[in-house]
Amino acid sequence: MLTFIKKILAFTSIGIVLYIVCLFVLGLFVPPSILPNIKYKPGNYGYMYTRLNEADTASRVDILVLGASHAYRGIDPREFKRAGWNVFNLASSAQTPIQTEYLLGKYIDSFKPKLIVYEIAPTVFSNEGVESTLDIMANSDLNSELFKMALKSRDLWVLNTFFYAIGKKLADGKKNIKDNAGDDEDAYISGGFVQKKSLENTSSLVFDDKQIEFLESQKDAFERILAVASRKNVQIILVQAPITSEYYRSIKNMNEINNYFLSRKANAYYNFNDFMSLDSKAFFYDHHHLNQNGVQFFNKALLDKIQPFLKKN
Amino acid sequence: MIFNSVEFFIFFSVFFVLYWFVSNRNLSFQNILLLIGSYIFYAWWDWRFLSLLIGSSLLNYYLGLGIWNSKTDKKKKGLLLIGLVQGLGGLIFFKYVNFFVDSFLSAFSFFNIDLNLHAMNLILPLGISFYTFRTVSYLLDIYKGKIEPSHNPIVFFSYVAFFPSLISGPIDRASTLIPQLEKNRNFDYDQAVDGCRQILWGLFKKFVVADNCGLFTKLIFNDYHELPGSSLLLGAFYYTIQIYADFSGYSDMAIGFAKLLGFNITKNFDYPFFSQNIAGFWRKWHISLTSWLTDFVFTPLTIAFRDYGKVGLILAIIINFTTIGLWHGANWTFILFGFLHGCYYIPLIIRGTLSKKNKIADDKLLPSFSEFIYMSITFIVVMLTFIVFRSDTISQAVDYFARMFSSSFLSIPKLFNKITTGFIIVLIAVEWLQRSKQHGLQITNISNPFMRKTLYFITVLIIFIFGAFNNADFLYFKF
Repeated sequence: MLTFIKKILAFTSIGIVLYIVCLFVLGLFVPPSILPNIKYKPGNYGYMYTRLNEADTASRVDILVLGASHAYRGIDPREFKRAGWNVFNLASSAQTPIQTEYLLGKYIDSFKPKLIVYEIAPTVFSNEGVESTLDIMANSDLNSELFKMALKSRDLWVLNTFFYAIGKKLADGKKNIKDNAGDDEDAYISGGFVQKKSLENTSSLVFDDKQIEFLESQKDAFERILAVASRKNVQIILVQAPITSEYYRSIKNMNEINNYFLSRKANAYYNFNDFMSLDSKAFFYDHHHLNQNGVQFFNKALLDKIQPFLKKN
Repeated sequence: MIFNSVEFFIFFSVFFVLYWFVSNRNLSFQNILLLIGSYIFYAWWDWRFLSLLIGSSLLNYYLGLGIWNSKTDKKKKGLLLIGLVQGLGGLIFFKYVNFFVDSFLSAFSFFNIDLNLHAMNLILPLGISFYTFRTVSYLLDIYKGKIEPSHNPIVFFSYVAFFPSLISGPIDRASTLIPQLEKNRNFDYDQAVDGCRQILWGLFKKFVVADNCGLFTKLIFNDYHELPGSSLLLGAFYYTIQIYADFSGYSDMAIGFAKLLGFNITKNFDYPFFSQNIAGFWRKWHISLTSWLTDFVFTPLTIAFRDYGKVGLILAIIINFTTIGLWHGANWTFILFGFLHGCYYIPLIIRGTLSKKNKIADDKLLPSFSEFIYMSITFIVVMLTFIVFRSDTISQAVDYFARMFSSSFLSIPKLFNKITTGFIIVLIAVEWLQRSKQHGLQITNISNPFMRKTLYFITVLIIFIFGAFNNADFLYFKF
């Protein structure tokens, strides 16, 4: 019996080592496209590769933006520059609090922001964050913190991709990595913003009612983000960017969500859906992303709200 | 909690240690632990139906004793009837009542008669088809005097709820499992190692073959009206492999976990795709169900129809297979699936070759040409019926067939996946080479231990790198 358990443990241990070595070797020699459980796509979309490269070389900013696509497609550093504020937008596709925590920890000391604008799309709180972890993994250097984040995801794709990426990055370096411009529809703007060229919203605006349930793991990560900001003495403002009114109304527990954010220890919480009314066709390019016209309106309103906080410092 | 989940891995690891280290000196204590473990396993799905499982076990325990102790045939029959009504009645209520209501409504609406009937909002208790068949066969075997009832309620309750095979079988008979529950179990190293190998093989079948096939069958069956006939043929092929790899993979895992606990349970699949006719196929496919129905449906029917010669036999076979189809669920597609399989037997009955057992490629590496042709024909006819099985309605199945056998039948198929197809070939090749063994990884004929372990590690790595992990549920859970 003990022999059996010892052998099982030995088999498992050797298996784990072989698993890591095998993925590393695959990374050296085999393209990810033929490995279904490896989702290694540097420069896939959202300009994360360019954004993180810029973040690695950027210095102090006044405002650091965090969040998901509503943030990197909705908060344009050029609009703030005109008012005299330096902004870096560190948001990324489907970024959940777990990834935000990692990125904030990595960059807060180099950016030394006066203010953090954290765009909190409720849907990301119900998401495990696999897509975003893979996005960061493919587009940045690997380190132990990233490994811890990969372990937390409890997702095989993430773990496989992490070990594969070690080999792949060693074999390829940074050659051939180029952000996919999404059929030339997107343009990267220095400071982490991505501008959509299209102004037209042709998407359907009919939605089923839904309730958004937050994951405990995301709520915990969110609390830790607020604690980091507090520890570093950086003001943090929570923001919900505008989405189409039709889509907004389909989320039936928005009161509960607003109460949750209002009760957190942030400097302020603004849900722009409650005090901005933007036409769904004229100011959006799909049901939840602003087009450039919408971005200008939103950023002006956002600036009005955050100026008092910036002037405090 | 499914076998291929982290929760089950933790549950089983703790259970295994308690089972062999804490409770191994006292059989009663070990059986109590097994029963508690089985109930936790079941309640993890939906605790509300645990009372149904316990209630059914309690009733059948006393009915078994009652039948055995009854002095008169009338009383025996009465008690058996109570058991059948409770078991099969419960099954019919949860599984088929809405189907009958809908069918009645459709039939009467055809004649413009409006019946004041409504379908009920029922949830099918998990595993009910499997544990009901266990209790029913238990009572029938006692009634026929084939077995004695269990006098130990813990043993009987553990038999009904035995967790490795509770949710999706195999449907163990009381004569197989109860004697094993009644005697001391000693840890057998070789049996446990073989259990691990069988679990590994089951995981390979489930994650690498079934779930990868599942990705494509879902796409093909959902969009069949947009795809060429060749893709629909591919969809039928992938689905046939998927359902085999999924269900036999689950059975391998169930048998493997049972072996780790010192039990040998019923083999459920015996390489069915290497059969040379439909009778051979059903001797090797879902063995525990077909043997159950053979004993309790087919055999009584053949006795009842014995005066009608081959016609009686055909009738018995068709009723038996239609019952097999209906067992899978309340849908006309399942009934048609079973009926078609029954019809496939007609040529065998007419030729008098029904019970002829053909051994394939005995001691040879490859089958002969004729064996290969018969095997292929059997596979194709089975595959065609799985189109009906997979379809939501009969009209959808008919449409699928019509589009499949259209002018685009010979075009290059869309959604052909080289990796998935490659692993199907690996599965078939390994099972062909291992067809005389219990499972694909019983490679005791490879004497070099390093070689054997390398193959196990390769299997593990293939699962992690090529497995599809987004479709964890097993297909047979819904039956």
